[in-house]
Amino acid sequence: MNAGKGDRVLGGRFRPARRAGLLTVELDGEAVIFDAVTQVVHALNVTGTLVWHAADGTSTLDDLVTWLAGSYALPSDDVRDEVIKMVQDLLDIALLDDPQTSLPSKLPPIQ
Amino acid sequence: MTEALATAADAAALTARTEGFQALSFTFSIRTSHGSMARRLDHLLDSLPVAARPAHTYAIVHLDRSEMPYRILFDTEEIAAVPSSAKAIDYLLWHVNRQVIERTGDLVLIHAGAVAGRGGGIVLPAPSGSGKSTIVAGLIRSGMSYLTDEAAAIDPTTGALHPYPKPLSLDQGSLRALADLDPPFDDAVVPPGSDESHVPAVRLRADSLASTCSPAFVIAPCFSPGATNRIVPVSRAQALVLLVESSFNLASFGPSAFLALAQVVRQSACYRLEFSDLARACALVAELVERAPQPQPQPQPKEQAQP
Repeated sequence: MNAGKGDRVLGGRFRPARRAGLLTVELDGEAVIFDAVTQVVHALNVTGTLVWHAADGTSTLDDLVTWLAGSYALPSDDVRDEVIKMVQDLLDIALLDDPQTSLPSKLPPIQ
Repeated sequence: MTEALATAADAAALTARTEGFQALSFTFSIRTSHGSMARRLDHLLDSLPVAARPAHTYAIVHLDRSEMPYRILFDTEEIAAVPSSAKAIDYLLWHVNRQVIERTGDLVLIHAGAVAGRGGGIVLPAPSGSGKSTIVAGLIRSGMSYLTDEAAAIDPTTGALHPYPKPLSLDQGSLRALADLDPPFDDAVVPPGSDESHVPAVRLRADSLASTCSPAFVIAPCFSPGATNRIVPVSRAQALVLLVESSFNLASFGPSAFLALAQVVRQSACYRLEFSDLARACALVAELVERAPQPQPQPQPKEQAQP
């Protein structure tokens, strides 16, 4: 179990998902993400950008750790904490769907 | 509006009228009973394109026997009462600038100075008090051409940098710094009762107005007394964040404006300029511009406009 901000708990099977409605551009390996509704903009470093692109809602946190470790040719344990922190940071700044509050990705049709 | 003001503001009483001016999407002219004030404003605003049919009219009215004798009307509404002609000009130019920012809907406006040099435009985004107008004035004196000292105007479709050549607003500190340049610029003073001098760019250097151009540099100026004068690279991501956060009107555009700013930084070299000495700062920028390679086309961007 990996503790997040407040009551948020991130398990290895948590599937980070980019929040809908955000604009992303990548400049020299760094993502800049813009929320046109709130007019808030964020820049991610290279590792954060890799995590951001991988947060497709289907890959688990364990998958991200394994993939990133492979990318850097490092043991998974060496990158786990950084990946978890990055995902927590992205949740804290509301760039990812929050597992505590997010609705199902598909709502049933209104009858 | 009081009867006295209405009488004084009657068109027949305001015999002096300036040209019509175009400041980006805002067109205006000015009426006043003081021929000298009209000539002064014509001189200050001479760098703006002429507007054949200005959509708005300012009136500067003088009321005798009033503590605030100078009244400024925008179209038919009184917007200010000030104690002196210098303050009237200050307020009017401030109001024009505000109207430009509020009414320009076809260009993305960045709180930035901008000049044009070898290779393209230089956007200088920074908050008030960072030295934008001072560094712009210094760069004009050093041979660069003037686009604006307040609002860089970027076409969201083409990324082109459009001129908004308002008179530069220079306070006492700026004028002192300009007077220390070689050759010195000491041809302007802050009028009594005012906080700043309004200086047309052509007084800093004749033939200094730039045309629409393509941005090639984003340089964020940061003046600090005693600071080491240096210019340091910043990432394009940091530069884009700065442009977005410095935008006056990004919210009124769709995703295209954000992507346009991304393209600006993509094609630009991006820096932060820390300075305490204007001459040294201008030299650093000039060296940078001189040695920079011509901008190359960037690879296809990875862009996601998520629904």
